[in-house]
Amino acid sequence: MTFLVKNDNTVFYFLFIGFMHRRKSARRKTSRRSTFNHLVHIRYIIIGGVILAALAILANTNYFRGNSHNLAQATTNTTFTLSSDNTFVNEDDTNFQTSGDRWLGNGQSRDKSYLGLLVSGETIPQGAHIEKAELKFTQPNTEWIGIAIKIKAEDSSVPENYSSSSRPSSRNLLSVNNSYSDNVKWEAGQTYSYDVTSVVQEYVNKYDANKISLLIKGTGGSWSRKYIYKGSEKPRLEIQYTVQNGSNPSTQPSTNPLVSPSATPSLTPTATPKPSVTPSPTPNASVSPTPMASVMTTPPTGGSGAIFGVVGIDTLGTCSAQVHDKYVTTGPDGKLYRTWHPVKDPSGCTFAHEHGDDPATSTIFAGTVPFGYVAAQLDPPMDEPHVGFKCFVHNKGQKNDEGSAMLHDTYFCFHMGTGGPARFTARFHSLDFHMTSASGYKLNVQGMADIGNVGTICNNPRQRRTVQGFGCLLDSPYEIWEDVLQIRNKGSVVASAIVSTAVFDPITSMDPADLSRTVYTWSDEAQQKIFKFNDPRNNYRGCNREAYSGPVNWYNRGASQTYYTDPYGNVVDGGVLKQEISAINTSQNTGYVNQFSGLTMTYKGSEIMTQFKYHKSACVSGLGIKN
Amino acid sequence: MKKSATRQNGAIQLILVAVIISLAISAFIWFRDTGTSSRPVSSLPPVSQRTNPEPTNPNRITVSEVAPGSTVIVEEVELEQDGYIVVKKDDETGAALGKSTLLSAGRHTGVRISTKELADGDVIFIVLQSKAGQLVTDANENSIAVVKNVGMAMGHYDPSEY
Repeated sequence: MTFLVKNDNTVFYFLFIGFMHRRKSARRKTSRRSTFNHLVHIRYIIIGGVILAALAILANTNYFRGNSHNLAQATTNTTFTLSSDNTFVNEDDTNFQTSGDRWLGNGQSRDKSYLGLLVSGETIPQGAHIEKAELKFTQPNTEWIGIAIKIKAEDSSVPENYSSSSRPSSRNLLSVNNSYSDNVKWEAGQTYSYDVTSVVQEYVNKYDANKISLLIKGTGGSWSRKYIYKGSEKPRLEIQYTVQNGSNPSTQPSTNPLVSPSATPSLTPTATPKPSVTPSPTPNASVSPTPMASVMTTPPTGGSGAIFGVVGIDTLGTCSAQVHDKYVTTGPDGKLYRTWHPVKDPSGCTFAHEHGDDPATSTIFAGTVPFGYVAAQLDPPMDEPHVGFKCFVHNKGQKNDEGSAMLHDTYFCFHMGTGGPARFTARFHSLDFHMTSASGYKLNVQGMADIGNVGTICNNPRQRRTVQGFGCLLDSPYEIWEDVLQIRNKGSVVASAIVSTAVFDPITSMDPADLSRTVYTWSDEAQQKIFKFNDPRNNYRGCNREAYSGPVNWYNRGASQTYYTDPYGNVVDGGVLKQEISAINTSQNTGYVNQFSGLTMTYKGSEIMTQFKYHKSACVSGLGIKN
Repeated sequence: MKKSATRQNGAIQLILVAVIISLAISAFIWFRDTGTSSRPVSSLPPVSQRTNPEPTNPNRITVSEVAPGSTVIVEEVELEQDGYIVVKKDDETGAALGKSTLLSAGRHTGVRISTKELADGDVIFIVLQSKAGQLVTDANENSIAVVKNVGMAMGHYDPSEY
């Protein structure tokens, strides 16, 4: 079947031979061998025709496209349930419970609280590909308390029922775990789910599965638990899987990058109804989720056909990677990049991250923003974590909470996530900035913006990247960066776009002694070393933001409106980034000008402001600890 | 009989040829389309057409990559008056890490500046300084500077960041 490979020339070989015979036979009209030659060329022509016809049919059925193999796949949905009391237990230090109410999270014990679920169902053959596995709970009562959990599967081909002598804590576990931390309201009668796809996949990679023991360990504080059973509906495990027909599943290792058995994703809560994220009215648990390596949905290759940039499945919420992969756009280099999407997909699922304002709501929207395009132009390309791309739209006339109205139109997408510690050392982050002044002057620039050095507000002098960190006692967790992108032509500034981006609820805090440490803002350590007030912060998701447009300056009078630069904004011939800069100087009479210090963006009373500040929360339920 | 058999045979051949030609055209289109879809098409002009105007300011400086170590090479510098090239740490007002010898007004290429040890990831500003030690600025009072991230672009993100 080698002739079925794309671009194979065998078909044309047959046609060529056929026609050559035809031409030769024409020249040999008088030859006694003409009848034989006719037969030969007709044969070749027929073969060529048949192959072409087959190709055409296959082309119409997309046979070649997107498939590296020709094995059909059958998708099966199945539900694993709990059969008896001994398959559904709680363990809290020395207490072991097989009856009565059951809970999820932590009992009294912080390090030895378990929910054991031994679910059973039809046999899923070893090596099957788990499309999706969700652990579902139907809530008996409305509850609202923060919990943190870690879910693993037991390493046993035939897991036994739990008993006081064989407790969840004593079981051998596989390596993959899904970790969750949330503080949302669960409504009575509603069903909530946690994605355990990678956990189940790891199990199925190793064993045939008709019984799976899932051990859910509480990783939060004492009594941070939700009651998930009070004699009504028991939890269940819903699995969607595929088995490749024509192959022996037991010998087929999983090739899905989503479910690499060596990876340990840290997943986020996936509440399906609409609980709101507000401070918990119930006693709060101080949860300290453990950061873990994520599993990627896409290899970081970029290039033709592939989407640039990886995305951890723990940021996808209740949506699949396929749903997330719908939100792509073509970058100026012709490659595919991820782009803005709503938190809630129209299909009904919810992502565990958000990107702020929809750029398309800008009155000067110039086209979809390719997230990661700028950093992809570095050599070597850099893949900025997808969840960090935040967009801000400031339309002319928009009023902020101080009553000031924006005088121009701007929108920008900047890379600023607070879910990890890399921001304490990564000084350059991509900025895609668009502005049209009230007078119609344009500044559409992109590049790696310089956010300066990092420090806390206690630092003197204050640094441009002000974060909360150990040793600086604060009332406020406010974090703000000044993001400077200058287009420079052989050292001279042609244009300058400065924005400031801030969060009121950063997910992590800085340990100045070790900038690579992940310290969650709500951790005991952060509470002790940073915050004066011991208020709950485990609902922080880096989503309550404000941004400043400006100061903005043009220094381009009478020059070209188009420049090509490197990713840092240095003008170079052959540059990878195209910049559009109106041929003006801000010091000219452009309508709203504050000479040298920047275009007037708004007025605060009678005071000229070169920045327009706008506070807007993008917080919704379901956001994860990487946002 | 022979003549009509020959005509019939010829007609069949003609039909076959027509069918094959149409199939060949279809195949050609299909292959061509497949090929196109697998190649990214850039909306940028070809590299050779991505040219820029010269700055109006007579003081100019061009630096390509800066590698970790203790030398910065300035590809080209143009000075309106005698002056220095200074390598500064973190920003244009930061500590001086190195300074060229006094350069006469005019164009110089391949100027090597010895600096304190530059590590991978350091951020430096390469600025022009007058003979009197003042930052050289343009008409807009912006200093003439090139910002460089030493070595690799910057620390890449750990997978746990995603």
